[in-house]
Amino acid sequence: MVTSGKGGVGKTMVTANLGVALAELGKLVAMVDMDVGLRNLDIIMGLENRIVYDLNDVIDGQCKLQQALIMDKRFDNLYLLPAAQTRDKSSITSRQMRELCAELKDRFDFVLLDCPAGIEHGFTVSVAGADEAIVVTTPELNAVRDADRVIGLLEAAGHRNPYLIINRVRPRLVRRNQSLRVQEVVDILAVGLLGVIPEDERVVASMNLGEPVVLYGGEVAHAFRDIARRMLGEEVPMLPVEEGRGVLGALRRMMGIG
Amino acid sequence: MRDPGRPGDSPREILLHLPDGQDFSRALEALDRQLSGADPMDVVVDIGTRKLSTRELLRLEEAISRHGSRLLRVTESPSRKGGSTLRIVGSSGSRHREVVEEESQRPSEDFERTLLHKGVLRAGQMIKYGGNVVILGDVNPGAEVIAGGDVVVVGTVRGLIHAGARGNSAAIVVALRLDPVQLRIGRHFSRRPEDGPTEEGGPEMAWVQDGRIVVEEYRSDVRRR
Repeated sequence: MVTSGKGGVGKTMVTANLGVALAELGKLVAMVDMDVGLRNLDIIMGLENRIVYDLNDVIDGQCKLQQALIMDKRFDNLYLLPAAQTRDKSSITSRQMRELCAELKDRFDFVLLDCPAGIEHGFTVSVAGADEAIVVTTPELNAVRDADRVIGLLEAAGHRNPYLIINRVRPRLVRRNQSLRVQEVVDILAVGLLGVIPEDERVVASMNLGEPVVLYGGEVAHAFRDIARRMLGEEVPMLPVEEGRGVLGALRRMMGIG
Repeated sequence: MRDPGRPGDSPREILLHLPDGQDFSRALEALDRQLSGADPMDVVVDIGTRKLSTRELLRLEEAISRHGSRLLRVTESPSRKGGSTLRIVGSSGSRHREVVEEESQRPSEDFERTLLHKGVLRAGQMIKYGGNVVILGDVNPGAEVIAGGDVVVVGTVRGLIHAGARGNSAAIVVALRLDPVQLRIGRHFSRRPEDGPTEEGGPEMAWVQDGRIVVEEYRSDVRRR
């Protein structure tokens, strides 16, 4: 599951790009939009016009899982299970989610759950279905606070070692001491660092075009491809996003916690 | 734990019950009547299977001391295991355990009791304990530790700490790094200075000196009380 606590830190962007990066590596990947009522992932993937059935239809038995899964335009090993737009989050129970995830896990190498913001029902339901958790934050105090809270809740729910992705790192602000350093964020949250993604305007452009930024190349794409390889168990050094201090220490920390 | 059923070691010791299932205020009134007019005594209160909150405990203590008597100890009925109970209470509407709350039932022994918490205390989590609290990990922003006694953090304090929470200004706070949002000791209170965090260094200790909370380098020879 990809989660954050705070909204707007890039969960959906991370889910989409991780999905693409894992698919590029030949893995069979399903992305599930858990944000029932506020679906987004289909837009970022440029698949909105292909939706016929959704998550709720599968859970309610209106269709088979096979029928609701949308194959990506670019990769035939990447699938999206969209959220229902006209329902609300309480329409899915933890038990239904566990059953659905079990079915998905049987068929796919990776199942990425794009959680809604917040720590309410949508979060709880996603936790029930997930084996591992990736927490996305930006290097801002309020986002880190919310990530910390979410990590506490994940730990309480049995996810002992959630992973961390720090999104939208701005080297210029870091150099001027106007932003938290990667190392500071890792120190506070004390979990394994999975990746650091630099701020890049092209991310916004790519989302509007429905083309995940991984397909564009560049530093952000590089960062996501590295994360995907780390998820496959490879040891990939962190990109020196901040240029200089901090990153090395963060890497050492990740290896330690692994 | 000593047998609660035999308070007769001293002629001035008396055992009183707070019956199960009775409203606390009502039970307290009954206890009050039993004590009125009697000579000052050492009182042992059997609370049965009831759980007392810190506030209720304080009310109980107050009710007894009003009659010049002294609350010697609080015991539980034999069906329960000795010691105070560690309660983990969830926030409303969530099935996640997130608040670790300790309600100690023996005020006289509180300061000798210590709760050990292993792991980072994260935003939204709280430890409330009548005795001392030791945390092996950081106390993050948005987390709270409220202790009747001292607080020792083997890590960095960035959240809120209240030591000596029942008004004990002799309590101390020791941490590898003290950078709390707010620090309270007894009835004293201090905020993090606006000019940024303290400089890096060795372990630090906060205590009350001349009515103010001071933070200084930790020295093992500091005498207390």
